[in-house]
Amino acid sequence: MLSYLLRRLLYLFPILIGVNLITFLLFFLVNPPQDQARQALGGRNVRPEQIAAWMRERGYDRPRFWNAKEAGLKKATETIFFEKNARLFLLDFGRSDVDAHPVRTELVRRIGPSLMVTLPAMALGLLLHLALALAFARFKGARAERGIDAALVALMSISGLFYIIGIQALLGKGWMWIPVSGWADGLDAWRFVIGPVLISLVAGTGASVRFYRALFEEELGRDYVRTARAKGLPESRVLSLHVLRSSLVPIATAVVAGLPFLVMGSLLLESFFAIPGLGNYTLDALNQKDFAIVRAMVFFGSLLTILGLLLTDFAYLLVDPRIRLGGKKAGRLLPVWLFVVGATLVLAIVGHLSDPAIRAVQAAAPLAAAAPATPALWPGNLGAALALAALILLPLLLMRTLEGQRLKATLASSRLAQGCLAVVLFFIAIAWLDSVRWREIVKDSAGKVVLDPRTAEPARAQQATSLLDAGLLSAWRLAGAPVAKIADLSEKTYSAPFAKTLFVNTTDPSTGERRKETLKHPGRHPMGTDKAGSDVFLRAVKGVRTAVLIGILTTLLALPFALLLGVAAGWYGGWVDDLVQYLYTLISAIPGVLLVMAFVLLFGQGLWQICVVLGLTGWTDLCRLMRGETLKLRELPFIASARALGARDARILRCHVIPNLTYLVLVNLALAFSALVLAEATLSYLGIGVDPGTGSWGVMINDARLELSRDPVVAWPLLAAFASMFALLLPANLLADQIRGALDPKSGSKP
Amino acid sequence: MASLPASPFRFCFTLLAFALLASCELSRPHPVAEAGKPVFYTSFFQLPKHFDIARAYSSDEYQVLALVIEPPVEFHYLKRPFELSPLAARELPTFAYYDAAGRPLPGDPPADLVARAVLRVRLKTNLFYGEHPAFVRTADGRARFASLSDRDLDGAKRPLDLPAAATRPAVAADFVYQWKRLAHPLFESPLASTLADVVEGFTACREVIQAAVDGERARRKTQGGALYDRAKDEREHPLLIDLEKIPFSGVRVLSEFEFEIVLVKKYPQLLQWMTLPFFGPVPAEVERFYAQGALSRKDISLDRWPVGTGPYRLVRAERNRQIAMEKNAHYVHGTYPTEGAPGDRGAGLLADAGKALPFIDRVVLCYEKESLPRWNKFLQGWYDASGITEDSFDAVIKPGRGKPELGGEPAAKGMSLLLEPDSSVHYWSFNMRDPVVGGLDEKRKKLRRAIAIAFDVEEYLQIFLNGRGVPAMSPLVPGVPGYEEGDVNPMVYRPGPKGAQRRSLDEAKALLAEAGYPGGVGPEGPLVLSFDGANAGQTGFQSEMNWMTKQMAKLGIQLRFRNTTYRQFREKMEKGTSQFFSWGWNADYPDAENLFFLLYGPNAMAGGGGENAANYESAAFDRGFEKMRVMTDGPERRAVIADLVRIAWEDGPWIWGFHPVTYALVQPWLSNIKPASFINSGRKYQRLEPALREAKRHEWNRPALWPLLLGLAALLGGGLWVWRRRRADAAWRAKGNARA
Repeated sequence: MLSYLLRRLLYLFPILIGVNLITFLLFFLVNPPQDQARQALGGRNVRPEQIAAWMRERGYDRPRFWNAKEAGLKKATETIFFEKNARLFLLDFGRSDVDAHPVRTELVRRIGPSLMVTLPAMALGLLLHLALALAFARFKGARAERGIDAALVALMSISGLFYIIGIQALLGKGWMWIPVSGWADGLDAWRFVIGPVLISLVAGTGASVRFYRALFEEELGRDYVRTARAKGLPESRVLSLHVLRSSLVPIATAVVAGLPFLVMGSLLLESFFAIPGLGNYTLDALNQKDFAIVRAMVFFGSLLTILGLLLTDFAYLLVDPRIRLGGKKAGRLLPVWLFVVGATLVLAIVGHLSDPAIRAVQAAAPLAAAAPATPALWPGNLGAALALAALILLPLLLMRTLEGQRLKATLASSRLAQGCLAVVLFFIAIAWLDSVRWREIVKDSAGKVVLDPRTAEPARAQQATSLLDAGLLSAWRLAGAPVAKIADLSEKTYSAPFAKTLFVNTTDPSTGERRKETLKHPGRHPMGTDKAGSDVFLRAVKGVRTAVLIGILTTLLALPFALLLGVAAGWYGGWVDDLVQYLYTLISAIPGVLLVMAFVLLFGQGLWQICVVLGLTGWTDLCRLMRGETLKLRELPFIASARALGARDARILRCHVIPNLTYLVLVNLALAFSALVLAEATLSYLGIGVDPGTGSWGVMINDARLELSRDPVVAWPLLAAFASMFALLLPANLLADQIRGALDPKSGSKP
Repeated sequence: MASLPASPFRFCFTLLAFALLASCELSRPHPVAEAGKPVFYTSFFQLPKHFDIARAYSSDEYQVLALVIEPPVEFHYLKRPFELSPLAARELPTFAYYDAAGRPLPGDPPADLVARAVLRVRLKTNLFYGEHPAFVRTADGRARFASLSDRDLDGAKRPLDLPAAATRPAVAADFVYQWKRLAHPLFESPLASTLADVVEGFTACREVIQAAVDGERARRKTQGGALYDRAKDEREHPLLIDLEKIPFSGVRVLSEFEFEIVLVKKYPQLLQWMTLPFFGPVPAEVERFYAQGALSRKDISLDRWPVGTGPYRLVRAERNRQIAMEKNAHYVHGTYPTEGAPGDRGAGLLADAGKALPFIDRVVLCYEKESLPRWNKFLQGWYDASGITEDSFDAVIKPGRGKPELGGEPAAKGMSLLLEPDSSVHYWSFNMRDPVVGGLDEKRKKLRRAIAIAFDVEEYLQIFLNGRGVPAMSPLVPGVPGYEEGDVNPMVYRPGPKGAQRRSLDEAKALLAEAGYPGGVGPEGPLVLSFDGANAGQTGFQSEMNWMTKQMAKLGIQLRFRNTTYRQFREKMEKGTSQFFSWGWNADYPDAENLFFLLYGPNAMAGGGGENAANYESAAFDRGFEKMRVMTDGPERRAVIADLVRIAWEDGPWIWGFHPVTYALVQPWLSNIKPASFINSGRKYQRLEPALREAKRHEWNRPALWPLLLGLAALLGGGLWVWRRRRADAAWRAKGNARA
């Protein structure tokens, strides 16, 4: 035990250095000192000499990792990395780059307000969500169950922004129970805390209750529950005494993982309620490009994350006495430590050498963007063909397995499952249709084909057209709309669904009168039009592809990592566990925003880039859940029996451990899917989402921020995005529940 | 059992009573103690970075600094067009010109004759600083707080927490001291490069200071040995160069209340610059005071706590939470203007003529990032002034013709509307070095002209700004001498009997054909232009992008978006590899020079890093600009300006874009408000009636009780239902047991 603790603490340093290194590299890549200088100096009337002076004053004129000009040890110490980061380990956070205030003073001042919001939010949230989930599990099979389930999925599909704006407007402006925003020192702050806490409670309800309920249902299926019930224990006692306690490992994993966020505050909440906490501080630093603060906050955050992870392990011991942390092959401390240190060193060297490479990539990036690429067919079509093949082959392959047979049986017996599958497939079909693309031939106003003088072939449009576009266009034409291309379906600006006039007053240029103009296509916009007059229904449909691709591709990328590494870490323990922990701590401690920004910078902005980067970072949470659960399973009697029967590790893992993890995987995937679609909205908010030409619900939700604050409110674009998401997420979640039931190893092997 | 039914009732009663008692206090975001006092509340949403007047250069900083610092001159609060009037100076300073031989040149001589220009500033003698511990002296005349220890500062967060404070009048030496600070390399003043070009000895002074800094640093390094940590040392012992001893040939003290500035060439704009806080006084003892390690460790510095002779002094400076200013008790020289623009008397703006300033005791600025809470708090009466965002525009401005009128909730609450023309220009620009759209040959001019006609700026204003802007005809912003109301760009508009009309799309198409792109197809195939930007994630940008695509599509031109990170975009701009982009400029002072230099060739952004983002370079324009820049305003200069505008129209490097108009709302309890984009110190003239405000706040903020009652009723009903179910259950079970 003590050795375990010691080892963990020893890892602290290489991990912190690693996190530091990566953040350092990323931030330099995303936001080099020259940019910072320009930003800090005001961006206008700035001469190169001033920028150089600014950098010299803050020590940014030195080499990053290795100072070849100096002698001896100074080669390493007279560098930006050493100078800026070594201090952090002494908890000396230095001063802001922008206005030179001491970061630590501000940090200490701001922890209080952040905690005043997050602590009650987390404590009350845990109580409320567990109670709701228990009640939900207690009344399983009741008539209201489906309704509650749908309501939970609905709560999950709503962007956090909506809760914030809605509750703030209702309580602050409508009923005047709380101040709209602001802060007061001391105890008087309670009035300012109510709103944010309430919002956190409501916003977290959907996902948390569904997650906890799935855990409880899993436990409810176990033998000891049957025994307890058979012995006449009241259901309430079964739930609170046995089920709740047995589910504590994943609950602890999820809760303790949130601890760093307690301290770091919530960016959006603090911003909307003008709370002087750390979230607001970090957001301002990111906006002002204050590297010193960002560096300090990342360091502080990763320190908390690492401590949080350590705490998780101890929480396991507390909630489940069967768990042993030492693992089977504990002990070999030195080699692993050396390895970890080595890995960190390699990172540093790669970072040092990456300079010319990064510069080359950056130099090439604008060139690549400038190169005209107008092949008639779209390169993505290959992907679409592969996807189609996979869609056909996968069920065929699946049918050959036992699990496949069970799935088939479930589908055949449940109308609900069939319906859900149909809807999900419908969405996938839309995404697929939108992925088959080509470039239309350009015609002039007289309808004549325009030839490209260079090749004497018909010229092609810049914008690609998809099967979906073509289909929608014909549908509109069949409905009698006089349009030649999709873009013609737009109005001047906002119009409500099925309205006859524009929603806002515009000035008539000839008379100077402000009034509402009549529409070009009255009554033809089932979901209204947006600011630039584009049809919202079309936008919602075009967003399907982005959502489906992000959901599926990201999952495909993240799942193998999470499963393999998580199970290996939990099963083997020892150095395997150490390495896996090193990896996921490293990744989860780096701010995702930075990672995405750097990735986008290197590889450009686009859908696949987002998928890859979300996939590469998204596996850590699931991996930790897998590890925790495996730690628990490892000690259960049926595993011991399997081992006693002489089964080898691989077989035990494949036949006994992994099947028992499927429920967690499925629940998590269903939850992660909605989180991913919403994450895309957040990325759009930060300017690193899908490229602006691509339709996406995230962009729609993000734009809604401005529209919701309009007076009179323009709610339909947000409602359209919400309805589309709900229409996809509800069947996807219900289907996941059904699959979970079918794949549960405890439900017997009746095909 | 008997107490059970009573307790929920008692609980409800307490809650209800509490809610009633609390009344509007529940939603009050400000301290109750300040209710009923003349305290002005407003919000800010961009963080001020510096309050050191050598560095501060943004409107967020100026709305504080303009009330604390008094530079020699200011713009008259009421007169329009803008007119300079003395502030710290006794009278408006004027330039004296000398030729190369040192002979005085009378009047307004041509620039090429001028070898020296001297500006003599005579100061008022009754400018008193806001009370500050730096001015406190011991009996023997030495500064009392010159060697503070950490213990002296126990519990102190601000300089004002020290046990004593004093004042003294501002003298010429303080102004000259600040001039040296502008030259100080460590202060990174944004004005340094501009001043270095015109002020005698500026660069030399800068070099002397740099040498002093280097010398001091080298000394400390040798003293500190191998482990010397400069950052730490300078935090513990801030670097202080004795600027009083540094010579500055261009700026000299003449007497206690008089100093002069010597320029090496004619540069009349210097007087306009001198309305900005850069040129206020800084007492040497204040800088010495702040250069103490104990203060530096507590982050108490001149950059945080400015000291000035203005009507207010800073008392709270949490820049990411709240900034507050209080009346300067020793402010005596400011009075409300006695004359104004025509119509000001009728509007009641001269009711306080001649009275002593300021009228408001305390100004509080709250950090509020999001526009929605900001707007809601204004409507509830918690903020005293607000802009109208485009979002709330339709609810607030009535439909109809003519001047915009206030409607909706603000009108019902008695608020008033002010229109404030902005001093900025937003435009779309072509990169003039681009092989497709750039260049000054006839064909490319026609191409740009065609696009400029197709780009319906009026529609843009309607959709994206609710019409809160005027289409720009040239870079000149309204209110700048040389800007002619009603002047239209003949390349894009056709003057008609009913006013100017945008030229027709057919004309644009014809121009495009003449440019070699009939129907949008040129010798290289269909014309595809690229819009360069770094605003992909900006909320609502997609709409803007759709709109731009539509404008280009009118001519058959395809628009592609090359969105990159800000840095890559900036790099493209600096290398001159962009093609088409949007940009904006906010004028520093109302003079054509500060706007036309956006088109001045040597000021190109590509290569030189200047502000001419279009990289426009025309010999005729540059000649005209160089001539105009040094002329004093008058008919002659206006004629040159008109010529420059004509050249710019002809070449069309920009699609001229628009000047935004700010719509501001004012609560009924505020008076003496006249909007002006170049005046940041308006608050000192304004008046506030706290009693009326408190009454209105009570009226507007009665908490709704019905949801509470409804909730309680539901709770009671639910409880009752559960209770009855339980009783029925128990009865049923009892029956079962009995049967068994």
